Amino acid sequence: MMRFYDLDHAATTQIHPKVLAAMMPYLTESYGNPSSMHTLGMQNKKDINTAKKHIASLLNCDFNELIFTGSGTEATNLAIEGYARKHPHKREIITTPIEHAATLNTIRYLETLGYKVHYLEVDAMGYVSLADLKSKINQNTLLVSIIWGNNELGTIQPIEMMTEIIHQHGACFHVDAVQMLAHKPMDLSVLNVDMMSFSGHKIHGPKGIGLLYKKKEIEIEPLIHGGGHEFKYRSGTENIAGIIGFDQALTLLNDQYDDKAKHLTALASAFYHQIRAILPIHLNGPTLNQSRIPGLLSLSFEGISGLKLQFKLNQKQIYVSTGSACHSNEVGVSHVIEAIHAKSPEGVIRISFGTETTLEDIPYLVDAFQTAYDDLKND
Amino acid sequence: MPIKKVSIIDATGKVVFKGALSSLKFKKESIQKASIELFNDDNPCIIHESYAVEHLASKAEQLILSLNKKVLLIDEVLIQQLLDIELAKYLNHHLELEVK
Repeated sequence: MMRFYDLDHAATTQIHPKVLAAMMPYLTESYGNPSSMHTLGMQNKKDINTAKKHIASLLNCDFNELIFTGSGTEATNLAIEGYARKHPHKREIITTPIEHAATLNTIRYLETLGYKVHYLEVDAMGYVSLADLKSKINQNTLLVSIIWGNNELGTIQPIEMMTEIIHQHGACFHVDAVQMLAHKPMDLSVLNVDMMSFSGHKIHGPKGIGLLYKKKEIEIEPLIHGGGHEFKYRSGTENIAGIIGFDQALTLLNDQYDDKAKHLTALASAFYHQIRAILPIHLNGPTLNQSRIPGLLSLSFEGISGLKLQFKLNQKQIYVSTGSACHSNEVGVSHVIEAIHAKSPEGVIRISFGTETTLEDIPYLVDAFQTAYDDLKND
Repeated sequence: MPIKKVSIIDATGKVVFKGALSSLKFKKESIQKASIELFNDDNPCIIHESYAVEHLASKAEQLILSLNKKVLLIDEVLIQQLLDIELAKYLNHHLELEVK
């Protein structure tokens, strides 16, 4: 197979061989329903609980504060809509214009039910205005939902400072940590947020498994009713292979956070400095020295279409994302790129490095970008 | 892409089109077919559609380059060869390549 360069790790990651190996028994011989009261089922129930307790120890929370879901999106839906349903007396929600669609569209749905939604100001780098949070939060605020590490820009929000403000006003704080889990070890006892969403496939785990952390005292309504699985918050026979895979992926990652961050930061820095020297680009989001997701670069390429650049790079087996979105029948700019008023928004490419890329690959990648850019620029 | 731009020139020498190959009009059914080939998507969103156009343009480019000419007469044969592009209205015009 021809070598390819996956520079799209913020979209998804390859399942780690050790994760797959850990999952395999549950996709084959250990197929019992964890609710069954016989050895085949009981052993699986025990394995689920063991995995969950292990994840709880890694995240420093209680075992019964974790709810497995089918995705990060579902975790976010359960957090926001589940909390709103349980607390109908408060009708205001605060979020940002740069959230993932899982958050934005759940909140837009609640807006159709009569909720008042406040969108916080963000600056050109994607940082949320704490002053605006202070001005908009009030006694009617039900919930604040913020993405910790932005999936398009890489901006890392100061959630510790936000938590304090939000709790002073008696509101609930949900954090979308789907991207952050891949880059930062979590200590939920210190973070003190009320709910946090995670996903397996961003950390070299399987797709189809998400996780919601919900502080013990936070009450939510389930969105899926049935057999009362996951402490009655998410019914449906457990995705045991997914749960085991999530645990294995997080376990492997837990020992590598520091090395991974150093490596990805070095890759992003080398790539950025080399490409900036030869092409007219603009870095969206924070500068390289600020708080940003390691290895994630959102770059505006002047005078060309990001979609066309993506196509050209794909022909060279270099896989990236764009800052484009479908707007009815025209290619538009993503809501995040729009919100920060990025330069050359139609030419945005997101690069998110993974650990398999090496510093030795960077000159080749930069050269490939330059060739593709020159081709387009001359069109 | 080795072809930087294409120009379509009418019998009087007037340039009636100049731009990227992918900026030419591609047939709707070809875009849909490419979209099915690439994504198995009968009802592509605009991003899938744009990608399908780039794909078709890339195929057309290979074909044009294989003809080894910098100027091509848009005759029935070429129209048939470049079936995905709406070229019929340019019958008897010339297609001039600006190659990198």
